[in-house]
Amino acid sequence: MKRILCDNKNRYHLDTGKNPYTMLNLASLQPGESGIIHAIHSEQALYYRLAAMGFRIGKRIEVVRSARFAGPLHVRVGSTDIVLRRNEAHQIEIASEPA
Amino acid sequence: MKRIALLGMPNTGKSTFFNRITGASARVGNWPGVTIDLMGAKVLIGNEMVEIVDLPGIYDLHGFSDDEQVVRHFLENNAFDLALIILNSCQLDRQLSLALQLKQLQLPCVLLLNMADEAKRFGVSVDAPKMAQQLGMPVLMMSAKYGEGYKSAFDEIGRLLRHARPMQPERMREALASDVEIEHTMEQVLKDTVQIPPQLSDSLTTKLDRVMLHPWFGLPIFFGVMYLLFQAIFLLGTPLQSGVNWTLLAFKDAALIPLLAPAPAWLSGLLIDGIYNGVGTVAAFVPIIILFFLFMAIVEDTGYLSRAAFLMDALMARMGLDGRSFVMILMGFGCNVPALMGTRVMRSRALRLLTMLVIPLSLCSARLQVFIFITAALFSPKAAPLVLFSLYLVSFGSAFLTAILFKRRLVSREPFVLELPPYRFPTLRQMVLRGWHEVRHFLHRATKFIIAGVVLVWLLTHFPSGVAPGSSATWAGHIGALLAPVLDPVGINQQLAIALIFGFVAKEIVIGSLAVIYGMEGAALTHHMAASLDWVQAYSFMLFTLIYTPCLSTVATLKNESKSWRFVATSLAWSVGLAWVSSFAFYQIARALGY
Ligand SMILES: Nc1nc2c(ncn2[C@@H]2O[C@H](COP(=O)(O)OP(=O)(O)O)[C@@H](O)[C@H]2O)c(=O)[nH]1
Ligand SMILES: [Mg+2]
Repeated sequence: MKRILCDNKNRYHLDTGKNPYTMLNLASLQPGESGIIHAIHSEQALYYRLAAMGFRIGKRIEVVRSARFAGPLHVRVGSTDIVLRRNEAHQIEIASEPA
Repeated sequence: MKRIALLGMPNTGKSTFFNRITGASARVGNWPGVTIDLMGAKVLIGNEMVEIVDLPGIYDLHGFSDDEQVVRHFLENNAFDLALIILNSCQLDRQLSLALQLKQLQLPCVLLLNMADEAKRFGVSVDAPKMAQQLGMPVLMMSAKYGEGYKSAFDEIGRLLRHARPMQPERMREALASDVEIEHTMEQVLKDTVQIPPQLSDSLTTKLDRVMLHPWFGLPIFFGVMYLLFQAIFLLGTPLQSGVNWTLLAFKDAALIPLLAPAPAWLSGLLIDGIYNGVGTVAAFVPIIILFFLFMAIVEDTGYLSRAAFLMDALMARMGLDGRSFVMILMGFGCNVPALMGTRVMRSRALRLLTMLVIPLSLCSARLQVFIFITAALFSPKAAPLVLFSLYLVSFGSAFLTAILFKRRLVSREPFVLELPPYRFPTLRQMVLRGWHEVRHFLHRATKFIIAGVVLVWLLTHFPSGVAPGSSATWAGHIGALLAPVLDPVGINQQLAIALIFGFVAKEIVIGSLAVIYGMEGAALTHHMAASLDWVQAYSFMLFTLIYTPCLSTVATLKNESKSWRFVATSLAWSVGLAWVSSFAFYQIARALGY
């Protein structure tokens, strides 16, 4: 499994220098890349739905593929495959492991 | 009577278990949101009758969408003795949360870890006794689909039921109001009792998905598969249909006519030309309908529908809909009614209404019967499948047009998050159940609508007495004359107009009433129609039938689901208007081009 190394698009450093983790959001991961769920900034109903589908802080998430024409992402969290739109993916913050 | 409730996340096999334990035929599908209402059945457990209630899936006890509301309402208003919590063994890492939430409500419950067969295949192992100990409730592994472990689950349920004390609705209301927090316990139980391989992957599903969800070929493959399925249905169904037709005719000639010879002419006319011909013409389609639903059941069960939602979402988003709307349109190809009810999984009212506005335009199996019948009569065997295919394109086209025109009024920001289940294949048992279910459904409609419809048509076309049957002097003729100013410009003659009026009740009546109106059935009817109509008229009639309005049940469902007469009126006015305009445009252009 490929780890996220670097991506100049949506990334920012929490604490430059000290914190080795890099923050991205799920939508910026490429197919085949994976990371750790760091925060979920969704409204409540969606938050609970995502939690029930296995999106929990600290869990590994992998982007399996994305649909054409800016369509949804196919992701894998734990034992479950889930399809979600980029809009929702933007709300999920990912910590990539230190390069 | 004691009562058992089935609870669990969507798509974990609750309905499959329900069918196994009750012998019922609740609809099963590899797609969350198949069960959208409660369904109860009584069974003998031990030596007492017990009512078992199948419920829609719930993700948790926090948010409740419309389908989940059904569950909450049930829990808050009905006493029950035992809750069977059904979870997918392969997804315990997330589904266990629901069991813990339910446990905190202090329900009398049993945990059934379903899909033991898949767990074995994917290398997931569960220490059920240890989990039972930690959770403080019985835990059993089983496979509702293949039956493994079912016997011991059944015995355990019987044993528990003997000691169970009912959970009172008042207490349940209190319990549901309090928030539940279980994150920590869940981690602990999982760590102690479940072993999931680090790379849980179903290699078959992964391989299939690589093809089926291919970025460029995914959609063409999807439509190719659909096309092939329809071809297969006709290839297999048409000979069966002629067989039924032939048998019905032979029975009529050999038994019915001699038997009714002594009866007065009006009675034998009503019984033979009215009911027998009318219902028989419709009944001949039963084999095709069964085949249709068998194929539908297979597609639903494979999990391909969720893939279709993934593939189509980007396009549907541009029409104000989402991938699930597309799946509902596909389900509408079977019957619009369950498809409309399936929209309950959507939370946003705007999205639900927009989806409900387009579903009635999907070419359901009842309309398909009309089109098969007419295309077989008026087009060459080579052209007929293409004509049918073109009607499916019109169905999609009008649905998309409707969405595009109404999306500005019904704007939603509903999140789109959907599970992709692994590919599964239905067992023979599941397919037989589904086929049988459709036959029963048909018989139900036949007794309710079709007989009454054809009798009415017969009366309208044979009275007042003394006039030539089916002529313009009959009541039907008068009605036809009344509608002529509207229907003449679209090429729909008086006979067809009567069929259209009754088609409003149910589309099956359309062919039944054609048989009655023309006073013929089988091959004679098709020949006669071919002689009295040309293809432009026939196609215009089919366009109108496709678009104008589904059937009374659909209208009733639209009302029930939307709870708004205004919405129903909008939907009806729009579809009748669109039907007329499309038929008019087609008919006038075709005529202008000299056809
Ligand atoms: N492999 C396997 N599949 C199952 C089992 N039970 C149900 N299924 C399948 O899981 C899917 C969902 O079943 P259904 O009964 O509709 O689930 P519900 O949504 O909980 O009512 C269907 O495709 C079933 O055929 C099982 O024990 N093993
Ligand atoms: Mg179900």
